Amino acid sequence: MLKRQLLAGAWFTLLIVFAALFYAPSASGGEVVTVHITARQFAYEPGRVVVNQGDTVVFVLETVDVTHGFYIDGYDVDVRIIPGETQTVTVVADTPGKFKIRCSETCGALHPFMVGEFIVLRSGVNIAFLGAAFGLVGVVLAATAYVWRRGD
Amino acid sequence: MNQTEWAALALLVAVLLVPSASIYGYDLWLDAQKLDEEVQVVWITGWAAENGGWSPSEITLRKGVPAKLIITSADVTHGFHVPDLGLDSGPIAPGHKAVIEFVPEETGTFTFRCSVFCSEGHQSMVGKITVVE
Amino acid sequence: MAATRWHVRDFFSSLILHRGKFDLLQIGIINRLLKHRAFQYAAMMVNLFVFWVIILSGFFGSPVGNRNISIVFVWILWWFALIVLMVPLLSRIWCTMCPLPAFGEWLERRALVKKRSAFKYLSLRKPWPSKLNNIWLQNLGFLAIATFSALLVTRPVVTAIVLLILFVVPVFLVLIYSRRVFCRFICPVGGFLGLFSMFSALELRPKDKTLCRNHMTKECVRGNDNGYGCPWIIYPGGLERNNYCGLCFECIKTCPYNNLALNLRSFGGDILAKTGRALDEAWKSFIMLTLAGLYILVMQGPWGVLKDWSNVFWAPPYGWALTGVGGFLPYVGIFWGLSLAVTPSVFFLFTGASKLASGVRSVPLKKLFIDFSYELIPLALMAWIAFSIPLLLVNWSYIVNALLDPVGLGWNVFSGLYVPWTPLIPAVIPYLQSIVLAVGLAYSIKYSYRLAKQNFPEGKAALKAFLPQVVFLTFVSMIFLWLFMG
Ligand code: SF4
Ligand code: SF4
Ligand SMILES: [Cu+2]
Ligand SMILES: [Cu+2]
Repeated sequence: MLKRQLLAGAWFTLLIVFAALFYAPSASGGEVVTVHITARQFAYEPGRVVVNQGDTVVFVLETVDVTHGFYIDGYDVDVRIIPGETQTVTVVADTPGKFKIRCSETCGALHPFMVGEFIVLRSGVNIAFLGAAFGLVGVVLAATAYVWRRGD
Repeated sequence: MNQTEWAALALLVAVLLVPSASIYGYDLWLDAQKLDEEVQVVWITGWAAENGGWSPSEITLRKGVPAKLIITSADVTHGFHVPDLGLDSGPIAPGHKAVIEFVPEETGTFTFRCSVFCSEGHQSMVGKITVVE
Repeated sequence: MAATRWHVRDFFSSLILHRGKFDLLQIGIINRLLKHRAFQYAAMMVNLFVFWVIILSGFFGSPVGNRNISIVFVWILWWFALIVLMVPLLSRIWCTMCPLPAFGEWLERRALVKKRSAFKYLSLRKPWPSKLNNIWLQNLGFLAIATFSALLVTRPVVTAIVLLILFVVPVFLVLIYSRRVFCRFICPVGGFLGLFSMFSALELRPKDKTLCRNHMTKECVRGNDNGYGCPWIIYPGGLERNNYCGLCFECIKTCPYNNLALNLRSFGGDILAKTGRALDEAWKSFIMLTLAGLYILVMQGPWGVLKDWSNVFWAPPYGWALTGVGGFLPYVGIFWGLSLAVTPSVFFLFTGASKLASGVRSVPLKKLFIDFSYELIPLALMAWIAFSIPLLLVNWSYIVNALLDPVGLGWNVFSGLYVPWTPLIPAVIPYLQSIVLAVGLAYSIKYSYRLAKQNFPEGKAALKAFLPQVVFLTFVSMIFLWLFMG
């Protein structure tokens, strides 16, 4: 019985920490960040862009081969990167989480797999991932507890 | 064999033949168009230089006969541009096609090139149009 | 209307009376349809047409993958329908309508629809080698195809060639061995359809097994005037799992007692079936689980070098040290090594931990290893579903365009109409994927405990053996969660 209470207590504490993280104003962000991205068949370099919530992100885009696109899930960004030109697009990173960057110009065989990642942190952590991980552990505990109770 | 079997067999043959025949027929139709005396129809497919460039890269047209160039691109976005004839298709996305109609008015050789920077080898993506009497 | 209401009531009462199962054959129209001899023929015909167009278009259509229906229909539409809808809900219903083995089957029977006498089969009817009486060939075949998946799913002509091979091979196999040996032992899709159909909400089962056992003529095996003996070479009267029943519905036509039921049931029922468990199926789970992760990593991840490697002979002209064949080899090593060796080894360690924790020494480790591997099925299936969600949500516009212009040659039936590429709710996809993953994890945990209980019926041993498995499942799920959201 005590064990179970301890477990519940620990879980509850974690939840509170998480809620604090989520509702407290973001500890960082609000800066202007310039990110240089080079597109090529079939990837972006760098492939993962990590910024803070509230940052204004200036993407400076170039391609080393063919025309590519630059689309960010959920961020209303869709531009063309034309060879020999530099394309600039500015995004205010207001929603935390991981968002795929996708190529929106057919650029060769593996074009549908040409993705990058735009990760927006809150208070220095990937809050969406953390929340989902807590959720998943919650599912594990609930399912385990359920079969445990039912099993005996 | 009873009636059902015959019907089933007929359906099977139809299912295999109809799509094959329509693709073959489409090909014939294209050829027939090319032979048209009134208009000279030419299909040109754009491939990045690394993949072989324009196909075909040399075409011959007769002077004074209306020409219809149908240009598609097969891998990435290309454009069809003949500076000396003032022809330009603009960008053609893969799988799409552009149609240019004009009447060749003087004989000679004209270079066509790709107007969209399509790859490292973009500059060498060239071909030529020869206009004869 | 009255009839409908009766069925609704019947549905709920059967759920209660028959341990949550409902026999779809009780519904008159389904019963008549599935018992009709032309049913399977018609279903196969529809798909034969589609796949024939796909092959032609692969060879003669646009080489641009997302403009050619061979890529768009097979690797977006068909794949999504198969793994997200058909497999979890309707077991091997795909095999009912799959056109691949059709020519062989028709040739052997020398009939398309009707039932011919057993003496007229066109086949040498050699016995299938007993060494190959398992799904190892399918395991390796699937792995081999998966290794080349980047080519397969992006080059229309590769898809067309593979499909053509898959049409031709069964014909020869039928002529030598008869019946569906291709489906049972070779088809690379068949292997995982069998494994994942254990989770399905549909099953074909005898209603009363004693009746089957006492039925001397066993018409479901030998066939009669109404239908052929089970083409999948199983004994329908003894069915306990979905794995190798291709839902051809011959047995419901042949059984003189109408003793077969097509039950709706709860998810995952077969995982607890004790018959048929073996190492080949265990490895199928490892392969499927590992490949789900690798596919997400390679195709949906941001790592360009992995994509270069997966692209086989393709080398980008601007400086990567390891590309082309030089990069493909390590890539093959990762695919085969992880799925055949690393994942099973890690799982083996956790199973060892389970055995130690249980404190029971009498259960052989090998049995435990095989039995527990079945707990991976829900998680692996859900991981594949999660992988498939963005395929459709992101690329649905390709399907519409492919319908408008089937071979991608600019035929454009409705000239000029073209749907621009517009992903649907893309920002929500990671959350959907995580939810699907969590569902799989919960099912896996549930079955893990039940499997433990099968091996350790006494006292708390099952609970103790189950905990290391929970750790393993959570660990694997966290990797997937990181791929989706981290
Ligand atoms: S096992 Fe394979 S070939 Fe046979 S019916 Fe199923 S999917 Fe088709
Ligand atoms: S058990 Fe029945 S439905 Fe399943 S494959 Fe055999 S004959 Fe067909
Ligand atoms: Cu691109
Ligand atoms: Cu070009």
